[in-house]
Amino acid sequence: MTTGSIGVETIPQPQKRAGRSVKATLVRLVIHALLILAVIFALLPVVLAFLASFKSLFDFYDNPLGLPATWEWQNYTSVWREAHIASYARNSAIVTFISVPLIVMLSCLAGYGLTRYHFRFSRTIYLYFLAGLLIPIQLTILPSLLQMKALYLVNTHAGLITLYTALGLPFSVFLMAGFMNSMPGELAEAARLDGAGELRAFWDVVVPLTKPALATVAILNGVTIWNEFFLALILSPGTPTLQVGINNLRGYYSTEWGYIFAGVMVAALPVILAYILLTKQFIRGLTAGALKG
Amino acid sequence: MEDQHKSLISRRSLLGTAGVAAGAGVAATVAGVSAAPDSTTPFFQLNQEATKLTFWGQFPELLDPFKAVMADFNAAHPDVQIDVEMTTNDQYKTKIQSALNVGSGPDLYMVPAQPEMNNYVDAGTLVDLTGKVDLSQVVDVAVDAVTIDGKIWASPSGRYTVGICYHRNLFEEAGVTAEPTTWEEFRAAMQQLLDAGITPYSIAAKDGSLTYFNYIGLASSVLGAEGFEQLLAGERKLTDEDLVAVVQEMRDWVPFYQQNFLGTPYAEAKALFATGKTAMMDCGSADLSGYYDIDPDAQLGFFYWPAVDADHSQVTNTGMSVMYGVNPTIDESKMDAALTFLNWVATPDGAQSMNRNIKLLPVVDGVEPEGDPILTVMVNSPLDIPVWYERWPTLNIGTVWTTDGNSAFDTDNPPDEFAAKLQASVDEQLANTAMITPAF
Amino acid sequence: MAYSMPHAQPVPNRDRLAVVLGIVATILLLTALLLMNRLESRYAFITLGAFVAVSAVFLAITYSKRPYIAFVFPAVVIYTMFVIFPAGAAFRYSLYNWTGLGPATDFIGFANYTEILRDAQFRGALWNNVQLFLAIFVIQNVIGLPIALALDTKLRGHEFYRSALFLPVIVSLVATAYIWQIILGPNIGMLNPLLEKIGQPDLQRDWLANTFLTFKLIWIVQAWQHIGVPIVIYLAGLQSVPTDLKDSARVDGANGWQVFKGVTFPMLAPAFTIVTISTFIGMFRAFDIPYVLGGPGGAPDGTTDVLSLVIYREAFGLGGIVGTQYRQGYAVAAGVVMFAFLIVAVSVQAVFLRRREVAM
Repeated sequence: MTTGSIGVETIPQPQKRAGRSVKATLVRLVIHALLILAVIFALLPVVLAFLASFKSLFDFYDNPLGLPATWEWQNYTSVWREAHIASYARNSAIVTFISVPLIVMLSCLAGYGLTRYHFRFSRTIYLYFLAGLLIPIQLTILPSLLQMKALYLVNTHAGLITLYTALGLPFSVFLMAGFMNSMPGELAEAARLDGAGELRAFWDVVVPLTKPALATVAILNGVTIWNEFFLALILSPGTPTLQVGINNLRGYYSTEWGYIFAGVMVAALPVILAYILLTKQFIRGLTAGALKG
Repeated sequence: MEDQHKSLISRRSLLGTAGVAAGAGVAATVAGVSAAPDSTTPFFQLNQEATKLTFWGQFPELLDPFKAVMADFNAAHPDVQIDVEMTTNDQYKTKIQSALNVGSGPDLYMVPAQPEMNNYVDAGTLVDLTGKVDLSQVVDVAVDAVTIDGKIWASPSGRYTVGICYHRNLFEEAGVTAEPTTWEEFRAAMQQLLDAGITPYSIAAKDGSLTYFNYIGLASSVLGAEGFEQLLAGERKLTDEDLVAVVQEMRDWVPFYQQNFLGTPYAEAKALFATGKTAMMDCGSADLSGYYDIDPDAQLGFFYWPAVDADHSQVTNTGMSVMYGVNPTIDESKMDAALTFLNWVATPDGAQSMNRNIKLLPVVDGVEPEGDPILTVMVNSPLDIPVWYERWPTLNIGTVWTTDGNSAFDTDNPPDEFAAKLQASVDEQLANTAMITPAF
Repeated sequence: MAYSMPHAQPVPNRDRLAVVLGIVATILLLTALLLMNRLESRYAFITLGAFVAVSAVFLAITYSKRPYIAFVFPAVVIYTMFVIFPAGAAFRYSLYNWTGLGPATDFIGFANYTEILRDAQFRGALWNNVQLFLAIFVIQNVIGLPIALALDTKLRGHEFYRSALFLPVIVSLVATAYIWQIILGPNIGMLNPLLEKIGQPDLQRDWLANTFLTFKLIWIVQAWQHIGVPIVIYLAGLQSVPTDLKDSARVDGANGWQVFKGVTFPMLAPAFTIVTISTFIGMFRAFDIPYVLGGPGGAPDGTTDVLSLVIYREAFGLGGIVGTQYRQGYAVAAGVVMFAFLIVAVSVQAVFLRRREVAM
């Protein structure tokens, strides 16, 4: 240990302007310290909830601050078995994995149409989509339910998929249009002049170029849909998604905290994993679209 | 050359688009037709051996007990199967109202008590069961609870009674030997528990639930049966001195409540009591199975709300808990099966199954509560007054506790100010007499 | 007009046909929607089928000359059908005195709207939304922006910091409710035992039932969940600031603050616009966090009430088992007022902020 630190000190440092580098190092240390504080604030609640998922009910009250007295893995096994988590997860997965490609496809087409052809109503239609971001969801629940009923879509995956797709469009079109605006337009032109049809030029040239934005639209909508609660509760009680199922773990007459946190973790895990794997895509396209819109 | 190519492409894409469109049209129609069997007017009917019914309720924690009831029913009537679906109470009404509104939803559902039930009847979301269910074996008060304008709208199948539950072992530990019968004795008992290092009382104020039951319990003991009728008639006011004293009494109990009781919702207060962190809580029969679920060896006792003084009677509050209603959108072919079930719960067999599994007080003549001695104590209450939300003038007292409950305990406000808010909600209801139900 | 087809011949008949077909398709779609709203399923399906067929021909005709119609068409139709039309259909309810159960028959014109203007709970909730927006606006510019500036220096671990700070954005409503229980909850919350342990028992509070503190905690939880978004957007904005601009300013003798004020911040104007507007929209539509920490009644004593909660509560009641009333008609009227308010406020902001961008 000591030798190491001596060694560091004796190696001649490249920047030798003493006063400034000490100050700069100090500033950097303070910045790191503050950032670490912020990260702790961001992550601690999630970590604590994770630890809590291994506690027994009595542990919550007797030992609020400590690690679980005994690690109750059975919280997970019981919640998986008794609470039908597997079937909820299946519903969530079906709804998410069908809605997301639909949103991606529709918003990509619309974003392209709105930005690459400067037709008379393109700005109006763009704003028409944006208005959707301002509609309070509580307003539309009942009429939406009526529609779903008329289309025989209540209690079906298809019903949820339809609504999630429609509700995902305003923000996705906004992102896609923003991204397309920032893209060089010549490539599609070139393809078109080669005699390819509009759709072909779009498919062969534009889509590959928009991949980052497509990924972002997919990820953001995927997370939103996976996490959605009220529409799933009201429009499709017969096919409960994970969020609806987890919420029902908390009965009016009892609260089994250990199970609840285990359930919360099971529901959050796929999203967190996806996030860790795809963190760049999560962040990159979001900003690309947002800033150019 | 290029031109030709171009027109080819566009013709192909024209055909393609038209094809896709036609396909979509066909798909939509097919989807409609194939989805139709789920709806009210089936295009075709599968021959099933057992008729399947769906039932929605609002007690996720009682899912298994309800399934057990349905299994008992299925054993008696193998040709009918009932699927149970439970939603957390917080969102149950959101869900059931939305569904009923558009004519979807389950075949059978848990109906709220009157006067809220009137909304469901007015809206035509309940099937008139008059002459279809036989309630001859059901006690009068339960029949009244499902009767509006002389018609039967649901099959009643369990009541709950609210008083105070306690841990016998904790009382022993603190040396409390007798169940308190008056407010004064009750305070003394709580002091004794506190001195022994035990938190005396679980309460929940965040959602106004347990504070509400506590209030109506204590206020009922002040009012008595006659005084309650006077309150409903507007002859007694919650701002009367002896009723303001109830708010003050609850303030005096604050040292005995668990820490942070203002932020505690019902479910947590219950978990605290069930794990033995507190010695007592307001408790109804429907709570019992939850306690034993957490601690099967719990040594529980029950006593009635203490009387304001020795001249008054101890009291309990009782309300309807489970009433099965039929959704008018039910398939004609399933109606008989639904009626079979509704009739079954009104028989001794059905009542026993409900009581054994869900620990609700039976509403069928001659069926004694079994399974828990506490239920017997509950039935023998010296004075029983309905839970106040089952009466029109006092319907919204609970809303005041939910939205304004903190101010009840705010020592900066005199207690009569909160009492005035409670009375204001009664006055508003009395002024709006349009919906007072003839049954009461 | 580089996209126009040099070889396409103007075919007036075709154009006229396209207009007619477009009008027919629109009428068919509206009819289908109205039929759906009346639960006339069979006719709705037939009309919808006709709509699909007509629009297919319409698209095929317009495709060669106006391909953008085909690109935009599907999204516009789906969005109109399932977002815009329901919102319009809801408006009708706002003219009725309607509990939310059964048919709406008691027509009362604009009485719900005049009541909203006199409604103290609506005004209180609106004021809370304003406070929530201002609080988050301050937090993301006083804390979020410096974090973005720090991360923009590419210091070691900047990617980790960014990812970690963004993580709460992906946590769901239901999970957020439980996760914060473990810290602030009255019974299983760790904050109070922690204060006890470090010898500060006087600081213990009933965090979720404090008429002063609970709403401030909602600000903090809201910031916890959403601050990742402004950080990331500011970061992207910063990356578009050319470094040579900053360098030349520095050479001219400007210190760090002057560089930020004179060069970086003006270049951040577009990011500032988008962050501010999206925060405004987000905070005026906020529902999840007030709902899970304060409950549908805005506990304690209405101090955590926001507009979305008023709408939800009026529409579906308070939940729980004690009796409560609901007024769907009034709730929808409140929603319409909120929507109108947002449209006006956001347009004003957009114009103002864009002008400011140009001015800088």
